[in-house]
Amino acid sequence: MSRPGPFSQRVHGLPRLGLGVSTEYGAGSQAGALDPRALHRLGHAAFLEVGVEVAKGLDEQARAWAAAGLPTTYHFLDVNLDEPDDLDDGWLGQVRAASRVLAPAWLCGDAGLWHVGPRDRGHMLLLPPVLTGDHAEQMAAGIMALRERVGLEVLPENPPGAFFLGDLDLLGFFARLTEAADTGMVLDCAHLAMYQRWAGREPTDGLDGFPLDRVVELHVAGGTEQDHHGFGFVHDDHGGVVLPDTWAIVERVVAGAVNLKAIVVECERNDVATVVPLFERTAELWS
Amino acid sequence: MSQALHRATVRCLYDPALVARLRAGERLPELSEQEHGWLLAVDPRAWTTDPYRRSRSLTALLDEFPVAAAVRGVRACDGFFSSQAFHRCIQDRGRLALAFGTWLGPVATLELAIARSRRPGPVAGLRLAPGVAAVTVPEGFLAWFVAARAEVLPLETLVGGARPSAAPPTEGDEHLIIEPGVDGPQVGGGSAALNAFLDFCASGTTREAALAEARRLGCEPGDDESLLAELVGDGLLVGGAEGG
Repeated sequence: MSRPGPFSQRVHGLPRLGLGVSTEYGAGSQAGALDPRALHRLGHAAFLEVGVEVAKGLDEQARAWAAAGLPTTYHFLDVNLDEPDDLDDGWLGQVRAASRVLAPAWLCGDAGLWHVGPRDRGHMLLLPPVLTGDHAEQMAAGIMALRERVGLEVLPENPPGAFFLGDLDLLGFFARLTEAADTGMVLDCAHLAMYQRWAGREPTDGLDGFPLDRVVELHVAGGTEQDHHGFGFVHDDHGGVVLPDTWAIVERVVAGAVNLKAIVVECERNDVATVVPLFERTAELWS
Repeated sequence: MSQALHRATVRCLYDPALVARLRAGERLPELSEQEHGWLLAVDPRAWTTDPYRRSRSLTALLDEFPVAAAVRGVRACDGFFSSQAFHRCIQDRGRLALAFGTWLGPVATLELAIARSRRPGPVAGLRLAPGVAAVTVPEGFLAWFVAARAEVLPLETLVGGARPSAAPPTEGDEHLIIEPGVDGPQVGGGSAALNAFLDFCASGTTREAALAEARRLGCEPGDDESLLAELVGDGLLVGGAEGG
């Protein structure tokens, strides 16, 4: 349960989970998919971050992991934090039900647009937030409401994007968001690298002034550089090759994130042999 | 409002024509000049980095409207994402499936009713049970629909350009009732009076108002009560037990 008090105190009640791996509904049943339990047996995945869209529920892989008493985090895939109506009783009831199964250490998920209009078939997508102070305030209200109604910490994550709108930079937006919601966050290093590239910045630009004590969890993921009619962007494909920009951010953040509790290596569609080096390098950086 | 800008962003991602119109000077009334400036600052190529966005969404829609889409022609259905119906749906936070079904026109009446029955709204009082809908189509439509569906499915056949061999009927009235079944919605026969009564209850009503409507539609006093009990017992209506 989320404890009362400011984040600076609450964060000390969160468990240190170590290195983990992510999954979402049906990921494990696809050909060539990663088996988190196999990775766990090799000592590389201490916890499972379960991506949940309540309309799909939990698959057998996630249920089996939780039934074995292994740690989890709950990564939402279906809530627009800036829309108060999105925290409806039906959705909250299903979040609580899934949380009873998973017993997650916390909730987390991209602070962006997960669905356009009501939750429905064909409505799901993911867009980054509009980088304005107003939008940060709206999302902060949603984070606080969700934290209160589910009783778990809610850690917003910086989403991916091929472009971004608004008058703040991404790190400035998340500094305002985490302060307004008095919460920690998930810093997705691959997503941040995408933003920095789009903004024409060096990978670690802006991190010196960023409140790294808010970073509770990191994501490390592979990506592929793409060229679309001369427009360069990174496809966040969770593949086996983590780009140098992403590693540079991981290295910089790990050194300063005093409240870091968990790192997820997002690699659910690769074989074990491909991803073990990613876990080894991440562990080395966090040692 | 950030939400309005988000919705405009989605419209631009689906419809390069809108991006072109904005770049040519068109303005969306729901956005400020500053928000327009942010949209216009996006590299035009960035809007189309996902070439399969429309086809993925269309595939989801075809699943619910295979017959009407086949009549329209699957390739032509891609035009939905540039239509006013699409843009209005996104900006008004509507449901894409219902907007698509409406865009397809009268031939989609049955599939649209099924799609609506899958998405019951927050209706209170005496109302249709989840998954139940009443719909009136041209005479002979259900038989044509069943045959056409067999001709155009599975999805690979539909996407390959299959069309129904016969044109849909357009004359007369056939009253149908949709109910949830184990393997999906079941469509059976209704009647003008029964369908009118179920339509009356669709948006939620009171027991007294429903009884009055039943009498207006021809029920004898006394029979109205038994009709209501029968429809509740058959699972077509729910709620309203509190009366008044």
